[in-house]
Amino acid sequence: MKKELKWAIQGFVGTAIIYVLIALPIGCSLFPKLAAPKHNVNALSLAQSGYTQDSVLYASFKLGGDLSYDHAADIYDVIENVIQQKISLDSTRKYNTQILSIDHTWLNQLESARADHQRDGNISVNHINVNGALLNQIGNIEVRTETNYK
Amino acid sequence: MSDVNTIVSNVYNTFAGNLIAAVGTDSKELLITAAGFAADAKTSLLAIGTAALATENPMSWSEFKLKMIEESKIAEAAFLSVEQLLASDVQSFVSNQLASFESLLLGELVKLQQP
Repeated sequence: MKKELKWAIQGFVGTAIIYVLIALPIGCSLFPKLAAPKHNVNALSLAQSGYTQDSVLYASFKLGGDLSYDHAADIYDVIENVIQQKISLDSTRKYNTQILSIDHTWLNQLESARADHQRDGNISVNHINVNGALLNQIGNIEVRTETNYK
Repeated sequence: MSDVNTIVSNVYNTFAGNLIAAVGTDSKELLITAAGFAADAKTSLLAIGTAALATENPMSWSEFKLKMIEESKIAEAAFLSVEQLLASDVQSFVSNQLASFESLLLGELVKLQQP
């Protein structure tokens, strides 16, 4: 009796799994919002990485970190490298006019912030606020676009 | 057994429902995106304005002009982003609807074949 009950449970569970496996792809095609995201994982990761490093750099200045260009030069280089990798990746994607234009705006903004800092030696509060806000703005646009770019 | 008009009508109604729901969802997402972009732009403009009018170490006219030009380029990037989102949404929606339409029609045809 116990053995029969065990078989019955196994049969029930097995049938349920098969139904779920059949229903899942059909459900995902009928309800698009349940389908897996189609964004490019590498491109989104690069966008998030650059955006985070922008934010960390300017947050540290606001919190009283070392304001000298020498201290920050490496971080500008790292962010620039991330954006260059993204431009390289985006150059190979379909319908990439808009995203490449956004990439280049981001790169130009970073170079402008770096030039301000390099010229001043120690970054001023004005430049921290202005360049931090502008980099945050373009970084957010990058991440938001990548999140939805199929 | 359903007649052809009923089958087509049912498939169309489902398609129309999906279309309206998708447009509604996408519109809400776009509104949230646009509101985020606008809030960032306001923060940047306030920072530029504050820096230009600061009593200590104020921004020069040429620096102010440069930052405003940079801000306008970022605003343009925001428009490009929305354009990209719309293009992606349309492509995604059409491919999803084609799959949905095919599935619904096949379902109805299977029902027709049943005795």
